[in-house]
Amino acid sequence: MNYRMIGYLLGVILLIEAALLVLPLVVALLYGESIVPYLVTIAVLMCISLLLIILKPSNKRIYAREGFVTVAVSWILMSAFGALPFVIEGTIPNYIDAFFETVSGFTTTGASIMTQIEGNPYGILFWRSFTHWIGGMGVLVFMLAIIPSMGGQTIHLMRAEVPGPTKGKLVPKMRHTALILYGIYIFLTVIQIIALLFCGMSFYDAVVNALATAGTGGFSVLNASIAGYSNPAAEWVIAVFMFLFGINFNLYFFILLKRIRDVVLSEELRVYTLLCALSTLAIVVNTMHLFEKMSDCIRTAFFQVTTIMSTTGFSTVDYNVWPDFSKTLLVILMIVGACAGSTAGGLKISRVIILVKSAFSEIKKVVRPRSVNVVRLDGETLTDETVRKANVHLALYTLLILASVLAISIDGFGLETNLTAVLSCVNNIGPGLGLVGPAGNFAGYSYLSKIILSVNMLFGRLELMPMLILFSPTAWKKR
Amino acid sequence: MNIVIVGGGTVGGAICAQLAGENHDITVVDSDFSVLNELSSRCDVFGVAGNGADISVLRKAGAEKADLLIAVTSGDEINILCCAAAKKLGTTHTIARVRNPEYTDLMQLMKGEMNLSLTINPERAVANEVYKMLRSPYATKIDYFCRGRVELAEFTVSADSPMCNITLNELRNKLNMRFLVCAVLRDGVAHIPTGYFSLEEGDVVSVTAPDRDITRFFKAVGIYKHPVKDVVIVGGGRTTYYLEDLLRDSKINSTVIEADESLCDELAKEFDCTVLCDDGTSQDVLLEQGIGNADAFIALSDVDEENAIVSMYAKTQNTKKVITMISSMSYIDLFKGVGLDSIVSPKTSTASIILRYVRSMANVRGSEIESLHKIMDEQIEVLEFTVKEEIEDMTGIPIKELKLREGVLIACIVHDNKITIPSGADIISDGDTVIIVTSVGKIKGLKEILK
Repeated sequence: MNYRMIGYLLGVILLIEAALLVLPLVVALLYGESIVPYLVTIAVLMCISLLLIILKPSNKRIYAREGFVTVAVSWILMSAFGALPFVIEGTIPNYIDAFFETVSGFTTTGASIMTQIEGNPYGILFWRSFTHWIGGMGVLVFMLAIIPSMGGQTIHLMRAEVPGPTKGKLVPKMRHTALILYGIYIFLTVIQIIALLFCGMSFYDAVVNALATAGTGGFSVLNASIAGYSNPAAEWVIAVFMFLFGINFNLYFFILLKRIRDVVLSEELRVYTLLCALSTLAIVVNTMHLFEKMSDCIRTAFFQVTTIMSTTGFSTVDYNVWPDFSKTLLVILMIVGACAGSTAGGLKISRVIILVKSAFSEIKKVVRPRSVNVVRLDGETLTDETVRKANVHLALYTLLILASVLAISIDGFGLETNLTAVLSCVNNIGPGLGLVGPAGNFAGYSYLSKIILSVNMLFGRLELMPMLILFSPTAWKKR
Repeated sequence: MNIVIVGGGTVGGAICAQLAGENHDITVVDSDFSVLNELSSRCDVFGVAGNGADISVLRKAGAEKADLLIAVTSGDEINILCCAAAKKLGTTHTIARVRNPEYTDLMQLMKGEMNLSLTINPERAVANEVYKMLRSPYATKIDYFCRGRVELAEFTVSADSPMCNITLNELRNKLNMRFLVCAVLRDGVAHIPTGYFSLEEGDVVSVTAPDRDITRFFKAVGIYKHPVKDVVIVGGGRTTYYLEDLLRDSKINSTVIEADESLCDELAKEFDCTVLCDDGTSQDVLLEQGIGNADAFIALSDVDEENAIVSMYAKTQNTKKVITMISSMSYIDLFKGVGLDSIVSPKTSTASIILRYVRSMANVRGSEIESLHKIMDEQIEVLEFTVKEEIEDMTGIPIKELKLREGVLIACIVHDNKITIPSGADIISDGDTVIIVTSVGKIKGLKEILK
C-alpha cells in the first residue's frame, strides 16, 4: 500500500475541489450574497491539500488496491468538505444533514433533506446542483484530464470510478480519454442550457437544472421540482436530455468517429431505448384515466420513466397516487438503471443483459450438461471473469439492500418507504415511494439512518467494490 | 507517434512500457486477454484482443492511421502477414521480428514488396552483439556511427589507470594523441566534460578516436586487451550459426562444443571451425579445451542456467573475456549480480534495436538528424548530421571560435571520407558529416547547437 501516493492524489483532488468552489463563490458575488462560506471552505481545503501535496512521494507506483482506496476515500473527503458551505451559511445547520445532502449531490442521487428549497441563497443552491455535475463524470476522471501524464497506472483510478461491467479507454492515452469524456459532457450540458433558455427558463434556472440533468442528479431549485415551472416544453427538453445522459458516453465518441454502425448495433442502447419506450407505453395505458389531455399523459409518463431509468430523480407529478402497476414498474426500472459508462446509476442495462444471458446459458447447461455456452454482448464473447463479476455484483448489491433496509427500519417507517428509500439511494435516484416519494423527503430519518443512506449512495455511485475494499483490513496492509 | 504493437510477450511488453513512457500513443494487440489486462494496468496503453493478422482487429487497433506497426508475436508468419496487411491499410512504417533463418533470403527478396521498414532476427542480433564485443574486448559497450566508421567505446576507469585524477587537458598532453572523452557517467549522472574535467575511479567514460589511434589510446591508458584470436563457444544453435557466419571473414579461430550430432554436422559442413561433439557443461571437456588460455569464452546454449554456470566456471579459470547469453529477461540482473558482466540476450537486443529505430524515427521526423543513439543510461544523445548548405556563424569558422551551447560537444567531423577528432583549429564545411554529443536533448537541426 503506497500511502504517500494515495495522500498525494487526495491532496490533488481536494485542491481541485477548492478550485471548483470558486464557481459558487462567483455566483454568490453576482447576487450580492455572503462569500464567507466558500472562502472558509476553500481556505480549509487549500491548507489540507497543500500539506498532502508537499510530501511528494518518491515512489509513484499504484496498483488496483491503491486505486480503489484513493477513489473511495476521495469521495468521502470531498463530501465531508463539500458540506461545509451549507453548514457555515446556515442553510443546513446540522453537519450530518449537510453531509447527507452533499453525498447525495456528489453521488448524483438527488435525495434531499431540505424541506424548504426556495428562498435559499443562489450561491448555495448553485453549489448543490454543481455537485451533481462534478460527481456525474467523476472528479478523478477530471483530475486525469487536467494533470499531464501521471504514468500508466492511472487506469486503476478510472476503473474504480467509471461505472459499468466492462470498462476501458477510448484512445491509448488515459489523459486523452478523460479529456474526450469531459468534452462530450460539457458539450451536451451547454446544448441543454441553450435548449432550456429557448423554453423560456431564466438563465440561472437553466444552468442549475442542466447541471443536475447532466450528472443525472435531480436536485432542483424549486420545492415542487420541475413541476414548479409549469413549462411543458422544458419538461420535454429535460426528459430527452435525461435519456441522452443515460447513454454510454463511448457511443458519443463513436459518433464523433463516424462509427455510426457501432452505435446503431449497440445491444445496450437498443435494450435501453426499447425498455424506455415500452415502459412509457405501459404507464400511459395504466394512468390514462388520471389525465385530461393525452399529451400531458404521454409527457408525464415519459418524464417519469426517463427520470427513474436515468436515475435522475426530477419529478413533475406525485406518482405516489398512481396505480400500483405503474409504481411497481417504476421501482423495477429504479433497479435496472441506464447504460454503463454514462452518468447514471442502477445495476446498468449491460449488466442486466449479462445476468439474464448467463442465467439462460446456465439453464441450457442444465438441460444439456455437455453443451458449451458462451455469453455474447455486441457480438463479442464475454470472458468468464466479466460474467462472474456481474453475478458477484448482483449478490453484493442484494445483500447491501437487505441489510440497509433492516437497519433503517428501526426508525419505524413502513416497508414501502424504507425499501424504496434504500433502492433510491443505492441506485442514486433521489425520490422513492411513500414518505420519501416525489412530494416528500428524507428529513424524517434519524441521523444513523442518514449516515447509512449516505454510505449506500457512495456504494451505489462507486459500484460497491471501492467502498467494500475500504472496509477490508487486508487492503490496508503495508505490503 | 501512433504505434501499434502486435504481440504482448516479453519483447512486446518491454518496448510497450518504454514507448508509453516516452509519450507515444500505443495500442497493443494480443490474442490473450490476460496479457492485455496486465499490460494496460502497468502502462498507459490501449489493448485490442485478437489475432494481429485479422484485418478487423488491425482496423480496431487503428492501423489505418498508425505511424508504425511493430510485429513481435512468436510466429514469423503472423508477423510478416501482419506487417503486410497493416501497410495495405495505411500504416506508414512496419517492423517485423523474423526468426527463422530460412526466411532471411526471402525477406531480402520481398522487402520491397512487403514494404517492411525493418526486420529483426533476435539470434542474429545477439550474434552481432557478441561479434562487436570480440572485436573490441577492451570496451564494455561499443556504438558505431557514420555507417560503422566512427566508434564510441565505453569503459570504466579503474583506480590504477593513468586517466585517474588528472584533467583531460593534462591527459591529452601526456598521451600526445587525438582522442575525445565524449561523456562521463558519475554516480548515475551523465556529464559532458570540458578540458578541465578530472576523471575519478569508477567513472564510466565514452571515448572516441580515429581508427588507428583508438588502439594506441587503449594501450596508453593500460586497459588494452589483445585482439581475440581464439574463442571457445559452448552450444551450437542458431546464434552460434550466425556468429560463425560473422567470424568467417575474421582471423578468429573458434571451437564449438555441442552435444547434438546433427547440429555439429551442420556447423562442420558450413564453417571452417573446430566442432566438438561433446557435453559443454562437463568440467573435463572444458579443461581439455584449455578455456583458461582462450581469449574468450562464449556460452550460447539454449539453457540459461547452463550458460550462467559454465560462464561462472570459465571466470574461475581466468578466461580473459566471458560472454553469456541469457534469454530470460528476469534472470539478467540476477546473473549480473554474481559477476557475469558481458551478458547478451536475444530479447533485450531485439527490444533495443526496435527502440533505437522508433526513437530515431520520432526524433528525425521534422528534423535534419540522420541517426540518433542514446548512451550513458540514455541520458546523452549522439546525433549525426550532414551539412547540406553553408551555415552562417558555423561553416568555415574554426571550432574554437564557435559560440556553442552549454552541454553540446562536436565529437567528430567526417570530411571527404576522412575522420577527424576536431581540435580548436578544425572547421566544419559544406558536405561534411558531423557527430554531435549532447545532454540538452531536443536538438533538431545543426543550427541549434549554437547559442
